[in-house]
Amino acid sequence: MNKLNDWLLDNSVKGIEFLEDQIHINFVDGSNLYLYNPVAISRNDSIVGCKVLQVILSNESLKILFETGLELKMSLKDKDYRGPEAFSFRSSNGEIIVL
Amino acid sequence: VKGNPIKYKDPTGYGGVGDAQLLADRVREATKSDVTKAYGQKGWKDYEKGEVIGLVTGVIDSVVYALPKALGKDTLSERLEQQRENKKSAPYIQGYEEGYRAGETAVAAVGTVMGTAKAAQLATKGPKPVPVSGAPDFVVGPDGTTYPVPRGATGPTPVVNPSGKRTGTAYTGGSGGANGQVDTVRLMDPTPPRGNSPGYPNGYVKYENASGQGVNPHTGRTAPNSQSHHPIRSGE
Repeated sequence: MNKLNDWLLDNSVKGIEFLEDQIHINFVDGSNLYLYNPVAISRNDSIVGCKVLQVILSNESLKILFETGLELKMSLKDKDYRGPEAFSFRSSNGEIIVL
Repeated sequence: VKGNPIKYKDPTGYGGVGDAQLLADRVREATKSDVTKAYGQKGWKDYEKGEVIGLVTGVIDSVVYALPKALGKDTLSERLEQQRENKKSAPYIQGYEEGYRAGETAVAAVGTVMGTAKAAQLATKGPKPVPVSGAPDFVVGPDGTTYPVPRGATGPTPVVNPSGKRTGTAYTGGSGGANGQVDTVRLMDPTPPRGNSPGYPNGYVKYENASGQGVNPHTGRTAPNSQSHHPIRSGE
């Protein structure tokens, strides 16, 4: 089970903010994702307006694949943690998912 | 009427304190009968002693360990284990458990009454209706540190990991801090040291705005991730 997939699948990115030590992705349904570990993006394109095709969670990484073929990958390796959390997600109905 | 078991009669017919008292009396008599039957008169005395100590301990633990209990700490089991280690008798431990649970219930009831009274008081002062949240005004860590719960927040609601396992507790939908932007307080389970994270062996507290970004609990202004996790200290 991957509850993040349940919320993000077919959801589209409304906006993205690069903050001091985190990335904030806001989705059109009103949910918000904060990424705290290092993030890599497969190519230098904007993800705003892109629909999420798949969310893959493993011990090593969180990957969000968009329908444009763009992939956002965040490391979940122990050495890459900057705090107790790798990401936090607040759904449009208030559910809080944290890893 | 002689032989009539009803000691209290509620004139309103709606049921009230008298009925509750009658029920409590009957439960107590049944408990006394059971304990005396099983352990004799001395056993009942032990039960009553344990009940008093358990009641006091239950009240104290519910206040002092409010935060760890919210995080799932089973203080009653630990206390019962202590009684067994201290070679207390079976009826004493039975009474202790009943008293402890009564103490927990009493503290919860006082909190609810206070929250309701406060909401009613606030509702009369302003045009906006104030919801009765049921959330406490603050939670207390094991070392005595108090963590305020944002005004008007509701909860507790679970915080889960992507697998659905509960990893913390949150009170959400409040408006705390100087700018009113503190929406949520999260009380999180312990995490191990990894990467630049020192590890939080007793868990941590995080305050957030409505979108989930970390905020300073006093100012309500957004805070970097590196300053958003407040370690819960053990108190030892």
